[in-house]
Amino acid sequence: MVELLIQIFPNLAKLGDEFVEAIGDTLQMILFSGAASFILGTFFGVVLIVTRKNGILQNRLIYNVLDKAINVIRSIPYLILMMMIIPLSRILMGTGIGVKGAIVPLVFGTVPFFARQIETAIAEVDKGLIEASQAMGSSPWEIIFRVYLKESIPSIARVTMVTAVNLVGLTAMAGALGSGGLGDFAIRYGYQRNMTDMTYASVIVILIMVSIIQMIGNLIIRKTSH
Amino acid sequence: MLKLKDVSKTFHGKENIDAVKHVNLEIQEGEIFGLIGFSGAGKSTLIRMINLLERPSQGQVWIDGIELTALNEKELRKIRKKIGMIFQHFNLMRSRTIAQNIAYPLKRRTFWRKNDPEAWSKNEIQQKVAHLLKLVELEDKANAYPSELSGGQKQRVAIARALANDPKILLCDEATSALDPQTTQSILKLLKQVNQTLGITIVLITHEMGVIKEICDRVGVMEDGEIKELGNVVDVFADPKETITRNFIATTSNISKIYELVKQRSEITVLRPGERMVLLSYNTINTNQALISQISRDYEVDANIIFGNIEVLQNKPLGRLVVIFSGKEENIASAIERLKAKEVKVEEIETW
Ligand SMILES: Nc1ncnc2c1ncn2[C@@H]1O[C@H](COP(=O)(O)OP(=O)(O)OP(=O)(O)O)[C@@H](O)[C@H]1O
Ligand SMILES: [Mg+2]
Repeated sequence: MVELLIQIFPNLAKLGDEFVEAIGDTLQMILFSGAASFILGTFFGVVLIVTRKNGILQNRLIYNVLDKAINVIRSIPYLILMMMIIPLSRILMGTGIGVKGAIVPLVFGTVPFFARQIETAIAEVDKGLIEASQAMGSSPWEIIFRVYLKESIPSIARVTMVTAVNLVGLTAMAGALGSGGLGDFAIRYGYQRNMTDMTYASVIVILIMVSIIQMIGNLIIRKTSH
Repeated sequence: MLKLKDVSKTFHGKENIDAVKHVNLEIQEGEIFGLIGFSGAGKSTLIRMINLLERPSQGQVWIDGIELTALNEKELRKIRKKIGMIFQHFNLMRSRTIAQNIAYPLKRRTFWRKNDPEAWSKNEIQQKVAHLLKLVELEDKANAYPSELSGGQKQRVAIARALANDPKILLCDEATSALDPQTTQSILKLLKQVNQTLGITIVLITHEMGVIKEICDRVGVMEDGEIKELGNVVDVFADPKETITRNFIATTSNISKIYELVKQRSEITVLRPGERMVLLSYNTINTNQALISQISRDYEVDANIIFGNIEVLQNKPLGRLVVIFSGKEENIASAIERLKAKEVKVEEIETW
């Protein structure tokens, strides 16, 4: 097996350990920034829904500030956004490079996008359901957790899948700024040293990751749609 | 038990809409009260002000001596648990099974609510849900999802859910408008049963007079945000005062057809000299068709019934007959006097 791989990807012979490490780094970046983005994005998405006009906790100020902030951040090209955030990353994580340094920029790149997706997903919940639960004496907390979030699990799974795939792409891009991981690996060896086989190897692993994410996502959607 | 005092609602938008205007309404414990009106009359707005889903712009809402309009959100939520509500489109949660939907409003006993006397244990919830499922005859659907149910079954689930916290009032916003006539009947029967066996006061709104006729004790007719006519269903049907009420009643009987036939100069409505066409309405038990044959004997007039509609409302007959009398002019006049004396309403129908 290993022999076969080395035949196809000759440079793996001496770069094997580094390649495995790069995969590990990418997974870590996806996991940590993904988890943080999921929590923050869901939070902001819910805030958008409940504070919008005629929302259950309508608040124009909060809604407008959040809405504009998301639009602004989303309109900044990702590479520029990453560079802008490096100082913040140094404050928060103590470093601007490596896996640790990549997490804050990745979260910034993902949360606005994800928050919008969550907003759209939750907006699909029928207004009548909210009305019915208000009539049953549900509090805003209950409505958020027991109606909005619970009812939109399939949609949330779908947008999470889309965002996760997006995030894999971002981690690769973060490689350009020396974050480590497969993107970094592909740039350093595949591009700068012309080891095309290493570029392919990185791409294949990334494709596998994307497929696994989609498989899990589809499984959850199927299990939770009634 | 339920009182609306000078309640109004204005929606502020590009132009202001006065959806409900100065409504005063008192609903008695245990009655089924129906509100009827055309689309846009303000019925939904009015019923939604009872549980304050819609805050009145003006006026007060009282239930059992508590002024709801004076409560804060938290107190209001507590009261709402005792006011069930069902909707035209059922509003069940797709992600929950039927049993879970019904259990939704029940407060679960959790570790942070260990000592809450109103919280239900898992076991208690199970029993309550089973009981409610039996009440609405859906025992076999406990683990199905709403998407697997028909409209009528969904409304039954919604009713079970609305009854979970043993409410005193049940509000129904067009609960049967999305259902076929047969299913409508079965839901109305269930509502009547809920009213009679559990003593729950029901306020329902509809645009179908048939629904009012079927189960309501009292009816209010709404138009342009106002209640134009209010009274016992039998009285209102027997003697409607407002045009809009007449129009609604006309939708449930074929009597109004006679006016069309007259207009079209249909053969049966063409009178010979000396004949008179009248519409007789009666709503007392002692009056019935025998009266007509008696009169025709006593006064030597012929009574030709060309149109008739008799129904039973709250166990009382409500009859409308279109009759052509022929005979001597003074005899017909005396016959009509006699009918009037017997509490029959006589209306002359003008023909060509
Ligand atoms: N949230 C709202 N904002 C603005 N206008 C509203 C709102 N809700 C209702 N209206 C207006 O108030 C009026 C009464 O509406 P309402 O829904 O109470 O009528 P309805 O009698 O229930 O009609 P339908 O039979 O169509 O349900 C309508 O003119 C409607 O457009
Ligand atoms: Mg309505």
